[in-house]
Amino acid sequence: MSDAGTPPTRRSVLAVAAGSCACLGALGPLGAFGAGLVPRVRYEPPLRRKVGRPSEVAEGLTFRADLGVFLVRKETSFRALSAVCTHLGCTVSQEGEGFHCPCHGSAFAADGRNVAGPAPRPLPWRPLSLAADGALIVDLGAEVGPEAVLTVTEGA
Amino acid sequence: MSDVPSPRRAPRVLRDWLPGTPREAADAVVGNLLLHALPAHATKAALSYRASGWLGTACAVLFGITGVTGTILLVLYVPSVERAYASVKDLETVVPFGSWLRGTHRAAAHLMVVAVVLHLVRVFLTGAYKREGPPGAARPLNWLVGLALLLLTLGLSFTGYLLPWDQLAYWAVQVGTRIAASVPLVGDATREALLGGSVIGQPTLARFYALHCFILPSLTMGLIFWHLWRIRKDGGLAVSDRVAADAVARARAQPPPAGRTYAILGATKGGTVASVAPSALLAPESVASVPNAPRRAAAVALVCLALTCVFGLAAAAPLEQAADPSRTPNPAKAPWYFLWLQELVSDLTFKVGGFVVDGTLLGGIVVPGLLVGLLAAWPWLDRSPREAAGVWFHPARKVQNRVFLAGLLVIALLTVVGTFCRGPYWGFVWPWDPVPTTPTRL
Repeated sequence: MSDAGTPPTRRSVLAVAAGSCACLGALGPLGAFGAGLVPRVRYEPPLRRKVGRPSEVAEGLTFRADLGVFLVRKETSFRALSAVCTHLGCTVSQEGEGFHCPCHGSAFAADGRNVAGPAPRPLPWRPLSLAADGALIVDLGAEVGPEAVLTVTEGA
Repeated sequence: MSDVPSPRRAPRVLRDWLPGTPREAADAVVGNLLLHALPAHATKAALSYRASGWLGTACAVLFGITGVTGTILLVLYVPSVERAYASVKDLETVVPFGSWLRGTHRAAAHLMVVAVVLHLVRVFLTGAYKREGPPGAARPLNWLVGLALLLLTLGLSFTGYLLPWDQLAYWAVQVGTRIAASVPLVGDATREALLGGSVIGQPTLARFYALHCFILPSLTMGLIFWHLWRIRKDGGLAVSDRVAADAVARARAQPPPAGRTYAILGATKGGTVASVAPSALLAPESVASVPNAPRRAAAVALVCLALTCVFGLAAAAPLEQAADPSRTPNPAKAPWYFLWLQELVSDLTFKVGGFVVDGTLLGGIVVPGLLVGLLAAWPWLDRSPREAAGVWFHPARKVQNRVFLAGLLVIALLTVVGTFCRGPYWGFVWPWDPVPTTPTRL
């Protein structure tokens, strides 16, 4: 570095340039090693999960703790409502007609609408489908309207 | 060696710590690595309990206690989703004094939060962060280091919460990382980086383990050393500035007989007392740092150790049921020092016409962020005169002290409401009411 007032010499300019390049180069391995912190493989449960045979689902509302959903059966029609509060992800539980969240007091109506508390959105309905072996499959990564119903007539 | 034996001579190993003569006291500061952080002389005011409460020392000691207990816990704990809970259960039931060890670690962590906050309150109410100080002082910088240490203390507490892998742990992290995700643009990436994926699992535990046991403690230790070093660079405690200013004013009012002490010191030119270094005037108000400062520090350390050991025995660290991602405890409460945030997150969601104010972002990020930002900017907002530095409740700082205390009161009230007045589904209950089994519709 040259002092203020004196013109930079060729040597000082080269020294600053080389030093800057070396410092920039040092960022390379730092970035490369840090990249390891972003996982490439995720050992997480799948979003499409088997629920079981339609005949095993009881009439009315059933909470499936393993899936984090409420199954709603009305005779031959099936629907699945997420039990994960849209506020901060706690599991809601059924209370009277609707659902309440234990963490911050959100409340939802029977159709999933958020009616009280800090929850910003209704509880999402999850699409149900039938696997080749006749079992119900819920897709926890997708969302459908409350009117979307899976009707199963055989083996229910 | 021309050692003249003196009757007060301490054994050689202890000579630095218990010097018999002023010369030995000064040598100790120069020659001993640990004592080197101290000035040769300190004002009696700076060493008093009344000026500072020795709260900063208490914070450092409590951090040390978590370090020692944490090191033992480190080798007994297994950071795996399958075995973490069982290893903590072993600590509670099998390991000799394991429950006491864990309780003491937790007590020291909780007391550290208390001590750090009280230290902040003391520094604020005495105006000890003020810009105006002796030449070379940069007390606002040390105030910022202190704020970073407060945030690190809370970060250490939060990351420590996950490790037992019980219900409390799981849901605290679920809620905490979702609050982080509410930040626009970078929120989701932050949550993914903390969790090491999109759900809480083994990568999450590994990350929190690394944060809690290595990354945050190293940062904290580094900042503590910087914090302590800055106190020296800033000319000691702010209360000493005032004592020095008083000494100069006194000397000005009563000039000593001309040509005596001060002429010998060679510090005066033209006989004016004002040019005399305050340290020369401070002789009656100051004492040798060694052994007075280490003696008090040792007393504070022993009190902290006694308190944590007793608290750790009296209030064993809770361990709830093993983490169950499908069932949330009802109500699910954060640790007490985060309950005011949980209250804010719950209460700050409201509708203005058709527009819904997002309480998660507002209460979880914006309000705490603004509070920290305001505290950080305070040394530059404080316009009180320099005489207000190092004085408890100086009249010139009356308004800002009241604003500060009012803010603390609000946080304390929210904490009390969150602790005692929240029942199932976070519904409001009076502490004396029986807890309703079926809450009324909100």
